[in-house]
Amino acid sequence: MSLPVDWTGADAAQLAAGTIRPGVLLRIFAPRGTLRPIRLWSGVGELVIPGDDADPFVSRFTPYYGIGALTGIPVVNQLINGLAERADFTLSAVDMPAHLAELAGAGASDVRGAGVQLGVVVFDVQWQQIASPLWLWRGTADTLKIERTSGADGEVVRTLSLSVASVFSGRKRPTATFWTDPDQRRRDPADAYFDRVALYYQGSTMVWPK
Amino acid sequence: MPYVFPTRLFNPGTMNARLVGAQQSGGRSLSGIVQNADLSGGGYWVVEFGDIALLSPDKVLAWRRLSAVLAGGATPVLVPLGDRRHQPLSPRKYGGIDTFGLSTWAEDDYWQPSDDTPDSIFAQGPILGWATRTTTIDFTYTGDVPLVGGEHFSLQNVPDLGIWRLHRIVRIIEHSGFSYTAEIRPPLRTEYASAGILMNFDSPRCLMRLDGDMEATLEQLRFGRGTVRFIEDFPSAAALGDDSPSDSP
Repeated sequence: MSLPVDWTGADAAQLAAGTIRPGVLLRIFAPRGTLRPIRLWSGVGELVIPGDDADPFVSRFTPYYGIGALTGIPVVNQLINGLAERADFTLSAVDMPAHLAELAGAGASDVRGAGVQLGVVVFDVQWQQIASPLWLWRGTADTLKIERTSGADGEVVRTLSLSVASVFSGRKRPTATFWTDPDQRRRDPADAYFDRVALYYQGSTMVWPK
Repeated sequence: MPYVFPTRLFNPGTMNARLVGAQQSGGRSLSGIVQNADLSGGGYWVVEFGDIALLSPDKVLAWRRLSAVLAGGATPVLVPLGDRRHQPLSPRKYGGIDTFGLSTWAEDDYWQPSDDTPDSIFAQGPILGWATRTTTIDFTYTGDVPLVGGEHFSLQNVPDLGIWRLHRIVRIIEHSGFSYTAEIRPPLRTEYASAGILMNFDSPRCLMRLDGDMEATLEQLRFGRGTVRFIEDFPSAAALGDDSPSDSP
């Protein structure tokens, strides 16, 4: 989902210039706690930005990595016409920091539910950060897949794509249907409490007494 | 220690060291003005050597050895620019004192060139410490030739001595006596907290890797002419202290 953005101050002036120098930030928080946060950015080398409430542990030893790891940023939208949004982040599967390799090696259950945040940091002409990063979009990681494509000249490209759902993506999924016999049997095979629910539908005639 | 590309042995006809960014355009607007965005965070180095005349057997063999060991870019290599004429040195020609990049693949020089440090130490920093990604640095400079901007220098990554980073002085902001403040590009790749870091103006070099192949076609089974292109190499993040215990899950 999109977060409220307040473009004021020095970064707004910088964004109105002829050439702007933004850095796109991506951070992934694994849900289980066993995986460490993954911090990536669009530039070259390492970027240390001050930590915030969501991620207080950024230091020069745990910077944002930008070694060509982040190859594609999807277009993220505001909620338009109620259309649920899903974004695919493409990451290089070759040149990845160890944290990212952990994520790739983790099971699907570890990845699902990881918090993903997309932000922008603005630099001045001398490549110095001039304001705190703005976190623009927030999603929840869904599935992770590794792709391998080979080009015409034999070049092999490995990418890791992370599908991220926004808060509205799961909206059409049916809500919990607990009040049927199969659902209740799945919870407890011996429980026959909803045994006769299937007989009750609109217009059914109950014959009584039999 | 990484391998060394013997720039001075090959004596390339052309050299081009440039800083490549990732500039993107937002498209031409109705007014005709185009706004650009640079997402690179300062860019990375690309060095191209062209027109390398392999006129003697030792050069041809050195080329072949190197092309085999660099494995199409899998192995990082130190690339000296071999551009002494445009460095703040006197004399500006090679006088035989600097042998870096002249390696003929003797055993001693194969892994670690014995002359890995500059001949004379005339530039050192930092005075107050350099943070990661800073572009304004302070240093002491006692060289004979004044700095004007445009010179290259190399910095060695302190814990990982094989990693050299190339930087270019953009302008001298101020200097008084031997202490200088200069603006550089690209932003520093790492932090230099303590004083005594050598700024290597003698033989600027960069840890790079091959981009593409090292091509040299032999003519009449005698002479070759080669072209090579390098891009800046970044070691894996794990090698740079990624697994620090200070990171809490």
